[in-house]
Amino acid sequence: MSDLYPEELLEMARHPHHFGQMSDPDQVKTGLNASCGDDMTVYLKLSADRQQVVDILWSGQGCAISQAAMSVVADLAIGKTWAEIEKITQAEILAELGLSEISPGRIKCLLLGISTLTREV
Amino acid sequence: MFNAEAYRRDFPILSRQVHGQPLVYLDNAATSQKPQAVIDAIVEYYTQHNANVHRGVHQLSDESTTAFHDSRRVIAEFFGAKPSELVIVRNTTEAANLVARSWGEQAVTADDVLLLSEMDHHSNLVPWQQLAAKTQAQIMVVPFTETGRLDMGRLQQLLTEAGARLKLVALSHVSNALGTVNPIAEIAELLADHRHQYQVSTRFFVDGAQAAPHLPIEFAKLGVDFYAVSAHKMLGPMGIGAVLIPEALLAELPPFLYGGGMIDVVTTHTATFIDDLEERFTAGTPDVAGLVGWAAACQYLAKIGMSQVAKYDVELVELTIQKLSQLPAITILGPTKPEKSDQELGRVGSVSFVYKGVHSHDVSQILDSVGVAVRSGHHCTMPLHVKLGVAASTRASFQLYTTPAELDVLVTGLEKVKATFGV
Ligand SMILES: Cc1ncc(COP(=O)(O)O)c(C=O)c1O
Repeated sequence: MSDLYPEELLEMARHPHHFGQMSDPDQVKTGLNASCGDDMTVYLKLSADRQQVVDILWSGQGCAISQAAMSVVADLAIGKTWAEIEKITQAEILAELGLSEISPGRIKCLLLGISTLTREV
Repeated sequence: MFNAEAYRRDFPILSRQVHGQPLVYLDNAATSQKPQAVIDAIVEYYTQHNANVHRGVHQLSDESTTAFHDSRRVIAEFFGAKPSELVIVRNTTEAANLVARSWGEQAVTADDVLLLSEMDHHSNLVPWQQLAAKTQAQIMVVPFTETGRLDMGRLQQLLTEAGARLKLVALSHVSNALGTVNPIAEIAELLADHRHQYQVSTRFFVDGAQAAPHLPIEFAKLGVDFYAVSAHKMLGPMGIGAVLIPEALLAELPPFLYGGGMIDVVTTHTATFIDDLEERFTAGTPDVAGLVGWAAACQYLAKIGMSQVAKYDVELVELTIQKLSQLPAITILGPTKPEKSDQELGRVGSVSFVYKGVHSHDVSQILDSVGVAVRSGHHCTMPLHVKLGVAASTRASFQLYTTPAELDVLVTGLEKVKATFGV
């Protein structure tokens, strides 16, 4: 099973990072994978000039991959500016999950978190 | 005895492997595999007979025209219909759109009611929603019961509530997510009474996409106005399907697509349209190879006998329910027992289920790793999943080549889900 669901991924899915709801967010973004029935809500604390992400909490439901990838994205994005967040790559997210590739059917799951976070509102 | 093992040899794709394991194809409700006879018929058409139909006075065109008409006849006969009642489209989805446009836009007004069903596929909801939006007609919805059956009591109430305003009932014969077989003939009788009582011409559209692969269909006896099917779910090629429409109704309908093949006389500014019903609804060059392949699929199924196919399918469904019921993490969607009043399960084709604590995509991914192909998600039935309170489910669906041994592989795969996720 190591190829499909490496321990890093399973661990992250079981114990998500930065999971929860924020009572006073500066911004809330939502994302949906309609065909999977996955949804994601991301709560953000921003710097005074709104250029930097100071803190993230997220909640949602979905498959192990979308959930674990969101944990990774939150880990990677906190403290970064939007310009830096834009540079986060698919390969980086995969690597953090202990994966080297993802099947075409699961790319949307992998990217739900980052696309929700970087969505224009 | 039904010999699924022997039929397997007719399907070349079933001997391939995935991830180094034998393919266990349990995604037949999405699309079925094709027997060699269907593949051969299509190859033979293109290697020996290809030419446009009706257009040329030459040998190949004659052969192609003969293949076209012969295939239409075989397909219509398979469904107990006349060739003139067979309107060819690309698939069930297009059939619903055709009826919504051709019939709906001229027949439906703001006073009317369209009665839809909560268990239906988006293909049998969205075209009618669009029609309702254009015409300002009202949508009413028949729910399903806790055991996953159409709520017949509520259906009757809604018929009364809509009364003379009822213009359409659109319903699936078999649910692709619950497997439920809806009592189409019984509802057709209710609607016959309804028409009589209110002196109206309520139409009945039936989505037969999941019924055609598993049940014998006698169109002439069903008493419905539109019956839609897709070839690709019943061993035929993708890209071809039909809506069956009784001759008398078809004669009233305006053409759906305009152009070559369906005209009488054309001037630069006007055209008149052919009366012949078969040609009136065949605008442009038809998919002759598709028809030939579909006819070969009908012949393949007819040779085995649809009542045999149906009987075997119920055995597979019952066996799957029995096996999955032994796994505590699994909840089966749809009927699992016969209703008191009759002894039949009333369910065919598939078993959808939810694995507690594991998303259906992860279940499918792990099943894939042991060679098992299933469907995960909402199966184009979002309202149904919302009602059940689940975001997604996993669906194992069957064909005449599915074996009990394959169901054991499914169970082994589900045990692997437990081993991976620890639930
Ligand atoms: C019940 C039902 N209706 C309609 C459809 C749509 O069929 P097609 O995609 O061939 O148009 C399907 C297939 O997914 C189905 O299962």
